[in-house]
Amino acid sequence: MRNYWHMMEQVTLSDRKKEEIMEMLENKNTRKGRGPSVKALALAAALAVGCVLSIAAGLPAQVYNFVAGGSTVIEADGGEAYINLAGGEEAGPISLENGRLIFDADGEKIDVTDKMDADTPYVYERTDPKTGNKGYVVLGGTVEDYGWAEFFLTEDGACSMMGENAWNNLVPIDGKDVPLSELTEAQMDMLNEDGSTLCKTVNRPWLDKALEQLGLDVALGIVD
Amino acid sequence: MDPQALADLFRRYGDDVFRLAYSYLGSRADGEDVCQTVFLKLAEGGTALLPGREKSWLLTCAANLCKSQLRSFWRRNVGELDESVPFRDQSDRELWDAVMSLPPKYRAVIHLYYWEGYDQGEIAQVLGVSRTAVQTRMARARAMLRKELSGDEELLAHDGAGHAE
Repeated sequence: MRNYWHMMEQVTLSDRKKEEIMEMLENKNTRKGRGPSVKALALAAALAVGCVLSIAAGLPAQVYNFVAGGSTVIEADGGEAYINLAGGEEAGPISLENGRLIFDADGEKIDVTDKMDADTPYVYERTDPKTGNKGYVVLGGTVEDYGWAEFFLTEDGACSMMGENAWNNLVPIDGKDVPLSELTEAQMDMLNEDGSTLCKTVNRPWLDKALEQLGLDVALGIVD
Repeated sequence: MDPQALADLFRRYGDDVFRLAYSYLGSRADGEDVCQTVFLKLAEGGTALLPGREKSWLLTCAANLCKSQLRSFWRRNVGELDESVPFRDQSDRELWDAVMSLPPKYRAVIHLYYWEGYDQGEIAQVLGVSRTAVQTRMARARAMLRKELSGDEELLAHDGAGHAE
């Protein structure tokens, strides 16, 4: 029977969310109990380091601790994913030290300056020492303009990814693609009013090359 | 408001706040976030709820948060998670898809009418728009649903007697 009430009766909060909110109310704990929601994550990502997620449903819960700090959890109930960012804008496994690019691989310092460039990635396959789950760290660029991305893939094809300077979010303004980070306040206001403009994600060449090398078909794009 | 009263309100109206937010935003994750934020605002204090008007306040607060989200540029530039509702019947799925194909402001009107059983004046109050706007949205939403559902008007024949407080 096509009946709105019958349909909507089946739409309820998940048990997990109910428990979370109840706990918050009973303890008057106004801080959200879990990590940032996927939406909050994307916002933080857009403002800070950037983040991409692609999620498949029906996955067993899996945890991956990023070398960059923070962790991701992909849960079984509906394929929901959470990322706890640690370090915010300062997070990142690569740094410039005395004119050299140094990769901090779980405590081991590796000079990657001559092992990558704008088109060539440095790919590091790692195993999360805490969970045993495997992930990849991809570095690329030059001392003037370098970036990184780290992602965790489940066997079911889910992917949690974070990175910095690994892709650009571009917005068409007057026929020209402008990086999201460079928009003026007036342009942001205009886009908010308009509501129909979509931004597109363009990977740095080194990231595309790495994905190709690894044979990964990862759907990229900011996810809310 | 003491924690127990807050918890009681959540048990009573949590799902309804979520349903409105989910219907309005078309996203389970966003709907849950809005629901949590609504009760968070109550928990933070400074809000005096009139007896018998608690639900109305909660839904109005949720609608305002939904509108803010829809105005956000970020929200319009994101993909969707797989978050389908496991409906028991295929007809429910078809109806859900049809409703979700409507613009958000039409979905909100449809939801408040068919689920909450609100009249046009009450819907206008919750959404902060005029009665005329509600009438217009309702008429357009129904026309779009009629087309989407290939003339099946069972939904539209519903008398809107939901379960308002």
